[in-house]
Amino acid sequence: MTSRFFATGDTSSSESERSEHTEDSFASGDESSEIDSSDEKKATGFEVGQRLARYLRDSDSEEGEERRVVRSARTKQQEALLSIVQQLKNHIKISDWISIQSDFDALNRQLNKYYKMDVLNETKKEPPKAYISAIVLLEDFLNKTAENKDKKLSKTNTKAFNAVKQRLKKNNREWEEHIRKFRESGAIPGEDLYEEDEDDGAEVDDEEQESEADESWDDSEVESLEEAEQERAPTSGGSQWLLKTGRTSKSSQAISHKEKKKSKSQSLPQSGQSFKDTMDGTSAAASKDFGITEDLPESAVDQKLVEIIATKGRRGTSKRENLLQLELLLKAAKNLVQEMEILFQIVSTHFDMAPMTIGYMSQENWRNCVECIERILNLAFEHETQVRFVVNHPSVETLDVSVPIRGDKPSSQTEEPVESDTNWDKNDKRKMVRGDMATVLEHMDDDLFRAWQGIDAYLPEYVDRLKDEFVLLKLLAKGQTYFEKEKDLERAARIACRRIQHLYYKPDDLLVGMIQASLQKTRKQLEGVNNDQWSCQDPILSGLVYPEEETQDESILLNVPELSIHQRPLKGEKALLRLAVLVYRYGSENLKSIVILCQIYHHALENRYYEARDMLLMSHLQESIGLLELPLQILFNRTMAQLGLCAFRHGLAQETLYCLQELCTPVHTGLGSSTVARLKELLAQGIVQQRGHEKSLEQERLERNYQIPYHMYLPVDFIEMAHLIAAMLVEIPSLTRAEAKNEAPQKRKIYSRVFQHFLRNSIRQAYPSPPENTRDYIMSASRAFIRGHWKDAYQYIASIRAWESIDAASATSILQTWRNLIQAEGLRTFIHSYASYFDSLSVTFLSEWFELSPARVHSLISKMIMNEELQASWDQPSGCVLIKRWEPNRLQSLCLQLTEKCSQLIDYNERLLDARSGGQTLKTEEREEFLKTASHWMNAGRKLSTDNWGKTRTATI
Amino acid sequence: MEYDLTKYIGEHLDRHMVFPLLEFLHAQGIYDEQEILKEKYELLQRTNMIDFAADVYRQLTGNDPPRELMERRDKVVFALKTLSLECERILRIIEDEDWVNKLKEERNFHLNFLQEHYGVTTEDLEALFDYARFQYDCGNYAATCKYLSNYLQLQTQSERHLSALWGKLASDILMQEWDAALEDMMQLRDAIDSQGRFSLNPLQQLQHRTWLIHWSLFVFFNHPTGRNGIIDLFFQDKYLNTIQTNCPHILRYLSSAVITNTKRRHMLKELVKIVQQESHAYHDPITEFVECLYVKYDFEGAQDLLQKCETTLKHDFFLIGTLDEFVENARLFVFEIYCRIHQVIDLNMLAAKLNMDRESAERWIVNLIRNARLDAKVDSQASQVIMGVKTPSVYEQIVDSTKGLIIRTQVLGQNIQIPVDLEDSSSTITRGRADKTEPSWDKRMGPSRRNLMIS
Repeated sequence: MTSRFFATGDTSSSESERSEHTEDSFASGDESSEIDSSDEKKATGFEVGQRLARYLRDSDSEEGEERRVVRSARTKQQEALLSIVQQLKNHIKISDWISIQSDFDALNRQLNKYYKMDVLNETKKEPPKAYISAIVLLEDFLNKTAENKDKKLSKTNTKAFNAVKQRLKKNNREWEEHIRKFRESGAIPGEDLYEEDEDDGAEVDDEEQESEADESWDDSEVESLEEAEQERAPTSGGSQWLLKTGRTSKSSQAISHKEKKKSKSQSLPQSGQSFKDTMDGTSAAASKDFGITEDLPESAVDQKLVEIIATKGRRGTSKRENLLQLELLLKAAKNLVQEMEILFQIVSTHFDMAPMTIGYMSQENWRNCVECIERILNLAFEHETQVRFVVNHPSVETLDVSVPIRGDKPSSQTEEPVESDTNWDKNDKRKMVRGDMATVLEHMDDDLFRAWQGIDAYLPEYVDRLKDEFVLLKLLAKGQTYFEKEKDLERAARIACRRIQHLYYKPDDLLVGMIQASLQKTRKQLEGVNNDQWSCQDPILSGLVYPEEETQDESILLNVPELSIHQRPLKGEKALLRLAVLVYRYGSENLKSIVILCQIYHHALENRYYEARDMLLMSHLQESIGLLELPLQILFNRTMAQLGLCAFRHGLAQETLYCLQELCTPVHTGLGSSTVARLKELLAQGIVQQRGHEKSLEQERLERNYQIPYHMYLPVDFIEMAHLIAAMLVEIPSLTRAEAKNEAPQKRKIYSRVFQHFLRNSIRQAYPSPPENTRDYIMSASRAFIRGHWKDAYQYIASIRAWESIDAASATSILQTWRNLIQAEGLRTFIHSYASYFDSLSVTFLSEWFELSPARVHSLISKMIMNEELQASWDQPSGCVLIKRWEPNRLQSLCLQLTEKCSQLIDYNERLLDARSGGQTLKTEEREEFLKTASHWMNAGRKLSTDNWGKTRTATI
Repeated sequence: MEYDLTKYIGEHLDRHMVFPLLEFLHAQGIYDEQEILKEKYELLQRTNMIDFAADVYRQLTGNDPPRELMERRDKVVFALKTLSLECERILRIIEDEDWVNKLKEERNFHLNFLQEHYGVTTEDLEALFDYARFQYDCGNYAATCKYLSNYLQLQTQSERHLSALWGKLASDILMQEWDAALEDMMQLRDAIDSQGRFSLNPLQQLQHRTWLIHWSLFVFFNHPTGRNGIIDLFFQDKYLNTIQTNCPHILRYLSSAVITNTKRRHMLKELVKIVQQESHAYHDPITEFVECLYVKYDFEGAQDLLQKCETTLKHDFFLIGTLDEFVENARLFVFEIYCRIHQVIDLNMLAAKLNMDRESAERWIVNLIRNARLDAKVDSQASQVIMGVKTPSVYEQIVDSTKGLIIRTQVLGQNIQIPVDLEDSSSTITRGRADKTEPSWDKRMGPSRRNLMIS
């Protein structure tokens, strides 16, 4: 959402940014700070009242009668108002800003009540004089306080002071007219509050006259009048400000007046949309209407811009209209700064045009944005020595807008009035354009991401939007180059991070192809235009064209010394590495985590398992990942999944299991729970409804926001398969071994509980059905595997459908790797299970049966002997394994039983004590449950082996 | 030369210590002589050993050394004099050994005393350090050693204490004073490990340890007890980590040290684990031999590798001295494992495997049997060795399974008596048990899996 976009901005200004943002998109109601919303309500309420009143007055003729009835109530209201004003005055005397703040609130509340009544009575629209007088008083006092800043206020007081200052400024815009009049009348603020009843009628007349004047004004007249006003402006510090802002609001009012007039004159109940359409169609006419022509003077353009911004987000102004105005204004732009700022505004208007319901722009809008941004960047590159972007100018303390504008005047009195067209910094002689390019670029990225999330992946539209990624990457590269040039490396790092997030999941071939394609394109451009110097200076591109020596410090920085010593990084990886280094040096912690995960993912994708693993271990992210934010956790899960797949491709069973285990473990190990559902949830690849666990709407919305776009999906089925196959190969030999040695089941190490659970269920079935899904296939394979039928097991595994999700060549090579592993583990399983039925086993027989070379059989069995898994020894001359068998006599077996019982006793005692302590009860329960299941499995397994061999074995206990 | 490590090791050595390595390579004659000389000259350029450089230059080109070199020589001599003047006060005391000894006997050899009676200041000491450093650069290691040891005794607070320790170790190594070097090393190790004193950050610690590991090779392979020392030091967790992250090539030295050391057999398992873990990052014939023997149990392969090991060892500066020992012990290892998994072995085959003729193989085995290191009999007629059959004894089994009972009961008893401590102690038991079964890789993979294992 948009709030995320803002959250990534500068922390220093984020607070104010947010508040401004809420004002802009008031309807979203995202997180509204109290101040703004109350202001807004008041303002809109007022507007409605005004409008209503006007309409009604036109038609209604009985107003006079009604007015009289209300009088008494009104006096009451006024008295309340007056008492508040009195209080305010008192508080001002002792400069207690906290109380002033609450008084101010009360004042506004009272005013609202006042107007509400007016609406009911269909009359009044003039504010009470008391109110105006109060706010003028307050303002004067405010200015005075601001002037002698050296007089220290207490901390809470200062806070309240600032709050009042900001709100008053906003508030006073509404009342500009009246304040001016009030001042001109020379009344002393805070006095003469009791005569407003008499003035009342006269003021209404005044207003009416004025609105008439408004209508007759030509736009040029507006301008000239305003300029005249400016000249006339009194020199006293405070009022100058008021007048300036007042002017803008007045003229914006003028515009809205005219709009109303127009719609009225058409006198049809038109919808806003069709109205806008006509506006679009007749742009020439519109330009006249908006008062924007290309020959506007410089200062006028500025003012116009301010006006447009002021109307932005207000009810009754359409964004499309705004955009149109801005575009017209762009033509009128006189200097570089203006042009760039207008462009910034256009971009931000585009952002606002994204429909709330889907949260992203249309492709057309998006592309327009790209064009604008590109234009800004090009301008910035061309006039590098003249302009620069400023996000927060130290001398400007305004409510900072996300894409702020220079014309937005500060309210602080300490600052000198800024010249109307240029801001000069003392150190830097370049002109400043306000706007955070990095944030804009990030927003573009976010928007595209949301589009991917929102569009159905099977529509051609999705493919269309996918093509936009290329455009975006180019744009980001350009932006990054700019920031690198500007030595604003933190922002460059932010953009680099975005780029990495677009690159990391692509295999090297694709990556290099993409970069080359972009290179060719830029070359073509280069032939035509000469201003493309940036494209060749992009480190990634140039790094690929002219391969440079990998510098030592980079790899040191990465903490991956293997890189420099043992092998040179590949091309695509190098591109990634360069970006990553930038982030490691200058990025925030969060960005660093993202980038390191991306790098690990890419290593894993390119089958560099050990690099990926070492990086992961050195990052220590796995320890704290649970505390980090959600998108990062999803990325971590993706990385782990990819690492697991990488291990799987390498044929590392144990490692595959370690990586995938957590991802593939369902929350409840019930029968119905599916690993796939869990996986999907963890990888954010589709929203899964879990049984017995309803998600709230809010939760679901949140989850939807974090979904991964379709083209970045990992093959869930394949991951599940990899996990289960690895689990099978690790678990079953250990199982049969424990069984052969008659080990107590609780002593056995458990590698994969999920697998055990599935296997148990599978073996429990009296009549196993033919396999249908991945899990069934692997369970069938496991059953065959336990019996020593490795070929059947392999057949089952090879016929799993998930293999089709990767390309055939790699599938066969991976299958081959795993075939070897299955052979080897099959041999071990076989020996564990059946060694007790043999006196000797010949190597030739085993090597034929398992299709392994005699040397390999020898080495495998030797290993088993050394690890004491097998009581046997080689008879070297004949090439046989002699199994040592030893049957205890009666006394011995009794002794053994006794010791067994003893240790059981201790076990029980320990458990008893655990239970008594209370803290450990849970663990005990768990263990008990496990013991039960494990012993069940033992019985099942034993039954299985006896079934097949028709022999019974003596159980020790 | 495929397995030559000079390049990697040289990265972590002091300039002066590379000379012996280069000399060795020169003697081996596997590289082009000119190239080595050139390299040597380059190195000397950056030291103050002008005369040596001039010699090398003459060897290299046959001409007289360039004039700049001679000019630099004068400069060096001048600098040496200036520096010695700067620390004259302290130098006067130190040069007179009787005086120093007398001071030491009176326990007056510390800065405060010297300051009071002879006006020696800290600045003097720092000047002494600089002088020592310069002497080292000129190749006058004995002087450096002497000055630095005095410096270390007098000045304990300085930032440069660590540098002084390094300097002393370097000069001791170069003077081949192995006992002193060993002592320096231990001091250095403590200094690096102790967190507070020099406030090294983890990265610096890693770097210092890497240096220490490399420098210590000189000491360990020359000092009589070094072979034990290397195992004891490198198998410490911190140093093992350093080897794994920064310099896996050290595994060669570690492996050969373990193989040649008969007293540290129990470290073999650890070694196998590490070699296996790092096999993707580093392997050479020696580590491969270990892997072949203890992971794959491939005796033919081990045999081939043993031969490769010999050539590798011959060309290694540090290991050349241990060559015979290594071969003998490796052979023993092969045989031992072979015997453990066989019941009947053909003598001819064995002889071939051990690289011996039949007669000497038989004699060798008989010797082994006689020294009670082998439970076997020789069937001379069938030319077979028959191993004694070990049956698993019931008594052992019973002893094993009842071994833990007493401790567990004790713990139980304690827990009942002190119910307050109950949770703590029982949880330590479970944790201890879990740790034992955990493989190290797993430990590194994170805590969550560990919990699974415990429960």
